[in-house]
Amino acid sequence: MSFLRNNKYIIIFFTVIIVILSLIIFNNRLAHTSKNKNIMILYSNDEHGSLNNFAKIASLKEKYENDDRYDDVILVSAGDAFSGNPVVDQYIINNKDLRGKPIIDLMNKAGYQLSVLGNHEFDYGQKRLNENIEFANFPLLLANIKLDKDIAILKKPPPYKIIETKQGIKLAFVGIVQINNNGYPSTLVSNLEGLEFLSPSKTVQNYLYLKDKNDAFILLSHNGHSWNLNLARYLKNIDVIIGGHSHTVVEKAVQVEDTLVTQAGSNLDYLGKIILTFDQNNKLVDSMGELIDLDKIKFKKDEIVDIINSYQLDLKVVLNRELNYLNSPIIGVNNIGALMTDALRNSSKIEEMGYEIDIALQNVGGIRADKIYPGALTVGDVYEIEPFGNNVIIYKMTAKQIKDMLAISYIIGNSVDLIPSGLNYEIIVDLKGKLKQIVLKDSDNNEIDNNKLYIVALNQYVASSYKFKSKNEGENIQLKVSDCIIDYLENRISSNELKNIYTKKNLNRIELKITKGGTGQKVAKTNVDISTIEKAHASVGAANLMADATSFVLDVDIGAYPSSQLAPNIVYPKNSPLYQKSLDLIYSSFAHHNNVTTVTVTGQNLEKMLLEQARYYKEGPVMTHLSSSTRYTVELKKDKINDIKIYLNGERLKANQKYSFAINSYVWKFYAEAADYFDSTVSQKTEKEILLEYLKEIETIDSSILEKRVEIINKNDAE
Amino acid sequence: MKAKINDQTIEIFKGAKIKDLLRSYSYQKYKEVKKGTAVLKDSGGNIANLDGEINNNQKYYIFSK
Repeated sequence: MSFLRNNKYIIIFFTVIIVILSLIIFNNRLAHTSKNKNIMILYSNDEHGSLNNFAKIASLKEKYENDDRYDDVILVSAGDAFSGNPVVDQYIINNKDLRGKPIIDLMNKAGYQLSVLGNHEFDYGQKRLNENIEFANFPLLLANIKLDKDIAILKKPPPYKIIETKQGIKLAFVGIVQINNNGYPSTLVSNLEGLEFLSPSKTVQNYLYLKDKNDAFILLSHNGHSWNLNLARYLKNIDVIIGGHSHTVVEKAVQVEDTLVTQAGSNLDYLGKIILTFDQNNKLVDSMGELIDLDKIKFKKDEIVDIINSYQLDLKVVLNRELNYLNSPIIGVNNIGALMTDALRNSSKIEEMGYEIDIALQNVGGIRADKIYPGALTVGDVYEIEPFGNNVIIYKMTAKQIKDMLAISYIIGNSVDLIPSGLNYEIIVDLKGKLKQIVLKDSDNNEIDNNKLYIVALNQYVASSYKFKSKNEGENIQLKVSDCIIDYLENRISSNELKNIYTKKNLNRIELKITKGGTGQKVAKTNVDISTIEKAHASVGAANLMADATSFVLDVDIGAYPSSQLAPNIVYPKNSPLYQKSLDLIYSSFAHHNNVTTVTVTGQNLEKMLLEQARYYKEGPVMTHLSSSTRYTVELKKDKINDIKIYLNGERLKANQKYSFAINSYVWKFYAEAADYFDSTVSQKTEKEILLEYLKEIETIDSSILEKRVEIINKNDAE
Repeated sequence: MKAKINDQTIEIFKGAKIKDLLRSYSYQKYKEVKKGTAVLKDSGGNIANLDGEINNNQKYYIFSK
């Protein structure tokens, strides 16, 4: 402490000197002196249809243009403006194909001066690319391309562009795009007819002479960041590489030898900022680069905000484009999955690429709608079913490898998962649900030989998340599943075919067969088949059994079980023991350990509740199956459920009389929305515990569960 | 094609994106990165966005936040 006290003034003096020196050094990097000239290059890459931040970019550009420290400000992109947003990718307005236009328009308005053609710029085909290039107020460069003039539709893009700044500094920009082992960039190969793509690195070498005639050589390289770093190590004389493709967030540009290498992530999360400082002889003496986080930028150019908003409004028009017409609903994941996989197998776009798909598989979890409503089928419906933007991945697989994949997916999820096109399959399990065998069958129901080789289409999620083996490593063909479905609905299938194939109640390409086998402590035995087939359209034994158990154990007038909670298409074989695990095969709700809610409700209100549920479609109407002594009639009029009447011991429920009623606690909240009720209690026991208690009591399941407790009266004919 | 996450080699289809590689490595880690509780970086320490394309033999590392 005494040292500090004694030398106080010396310490203050040196601190002030250090601060002043730091400020001088920092400012020297940017200072606009009479000798040095600072050029700012703003850059983005892999915009992928993101529209929102262009108003911020325009505003930032204006701000820097008005900043005296910079002699010039240049705004560029390193490619892949397209692909990733339906308003850009599906921009077809009044039957006019304008795909890509929204983003080019916003780049024009924001003041972009240059871009390179990224691989996704080819996604809409060469004709549309020509139109987009023509619409752009800035050149889209590409040096590593050669055109066969007789075949190619694309007009030759310029390989480079020299931009001379206000101070007379000449910047040479060259554009290159990545190529894969097949010699093409990552896009639909069918869009590249007549185009030859040259080695990106050799192409750069061929253009390095531009460095001699200009003051800086800047590469817009739509290659990944690691490729760009390698190029900088390998080639001299490149001053800056602005990269794309790998979506790498290079917060501070990297200096590799004499080259500054950078990239600004993707989707306009960032705008990059490079400052090049030239001396009085226009010699590049300093360079630095960093990213601006556009989330933190609050100012936006209003006129561009208006344009963005108008495109967002167009989204509705884009999504409402009609592809086909549906007369009846397509209900359930089995039917929608069949449509999705058939679309892959019959895609004209995949055919154009020379593939003939034998089998397509779609995971149930990737189907994000459980019903497609009747009426016009639109682009929006397709995006609702498949909102993930998954690409199609193609493999060669043997039947055995397909079987193994299906087996693993069943075992991991403990449920039927992959919906096929091009084959049907049976999952054979024992009485406890343990997988015994997968049987693949062709369309004529013949078993398929294990060694047969197939071309299989999977979505990108299944290809990367599921465990399976294949005969080749698989290939991303750069085509979206959603585009295949759009193409299928628009060009490959009639409205009648759509109805005939996909609105069928029993379009089920997968069968879960329960066969004898399995050991352990049995909880009961059944003398009759316990079935869930037609669960939403008739009485089924499995639901009657659970309704009886609820009524008995909870001592209520009417026990109930909703059809939506049963596993689909199950037949548990007669004359078999039942194990605890067997019950999970039949009742899907048991996986959720639901309890049961008991309420008191008037007869009139109970009928209202069941009516509203029957009108609710998911995998079909939610039919409420009721306990023994109860019957009910469902009246259909013009194919719509018109009325429900419930009878207890042969007499219709009295409108104002109170009855005790019990049902699964999860679904009860939906029933409760339809009408008033009195006091409610939730059981301590789960549904499964209630059934087990009942089975312990009765020991044997008999034909009483086969009673026809629901009658559907079709009044269409009577009229 | 092949790439590495946390020094483990993963074989994946041609044209795979970073999210495909990560899902193939560990679905749990993929969820963490997507949620933002972990971050994936390349060998230079740069954040690699999930939709980016990978090159053969690329190396990535997962960091918890």
